[in-house]
Amino acid sequence: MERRHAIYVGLCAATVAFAVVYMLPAVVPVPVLWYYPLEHRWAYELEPSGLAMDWYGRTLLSALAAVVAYAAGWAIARRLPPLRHGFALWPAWTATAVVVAMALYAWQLMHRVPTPTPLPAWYQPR
Amino acid sequence: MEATFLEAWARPLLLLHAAAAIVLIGATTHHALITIGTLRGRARPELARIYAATSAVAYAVTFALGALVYPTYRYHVRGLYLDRHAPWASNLFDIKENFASIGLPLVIGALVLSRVMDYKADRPMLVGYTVMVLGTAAIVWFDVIAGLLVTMVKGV
Repeated sequence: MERRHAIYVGLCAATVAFAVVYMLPAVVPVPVLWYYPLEHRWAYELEPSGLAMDWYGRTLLSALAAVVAYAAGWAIARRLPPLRHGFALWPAWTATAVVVAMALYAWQLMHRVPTPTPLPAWYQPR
Repeated sequence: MEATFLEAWARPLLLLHAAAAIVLIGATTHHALITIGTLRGRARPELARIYAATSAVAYAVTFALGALVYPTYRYHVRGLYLDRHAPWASNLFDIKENFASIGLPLVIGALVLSRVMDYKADRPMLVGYTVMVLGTAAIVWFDVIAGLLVTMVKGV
């Protein structure tokens, strides 16, 4: 396969991998990097022990998966002959993975009932 | 008062985040329109490459600035206010941040493809490129509107 076609396959594979890995913590228990904004510390764990954010960790994990998928997709595609029919399926896989990931998060978050952080003594409503 | 990372800089950073988002929504919209034109047989590769690069840089800057403000938002805005008084806005923000992450490979893919693709010969690649460009534009439009709505309720 030509270089630019292999790049295309790699990029589509990377997008699919990013979306799939990004969905994982929303459906199965996966340890990720958590940031504790009040304690200014990071922890690699399954569940947080206080006010913490996993968005950085999820994004980082998905980015790593995307880099691996790009390298694998590119390397495999370079060794294959041009596959016109398979080639046309990549956009469908890419769009499906992205739409499913977005729909999953939108669905889960639309129905979430958040737990407010306890108000500290200094708090003055603005 | 409990201090979060870059809390004193949260408002200037949020302003820069919004300014970068203005550039981003313009660039992605132009890029989407040029890509639709390409599908209809009016290819403008030079413009597509310029808007792809502008979109990628603006996306990276907007994303990075948002990530810097996020700890302050998470505690002072979401934790202390939105979760208590406007849970819909809290949930909308989290949908927006997740969409922004999911859009990262799309904007990078559109940038790379705009540079390597043969706009006339690579018709099958053009479909994937279009998915990436239109996907990025849709995410950016949603995120800008969601960000404005959340900030109307409470900013940093």
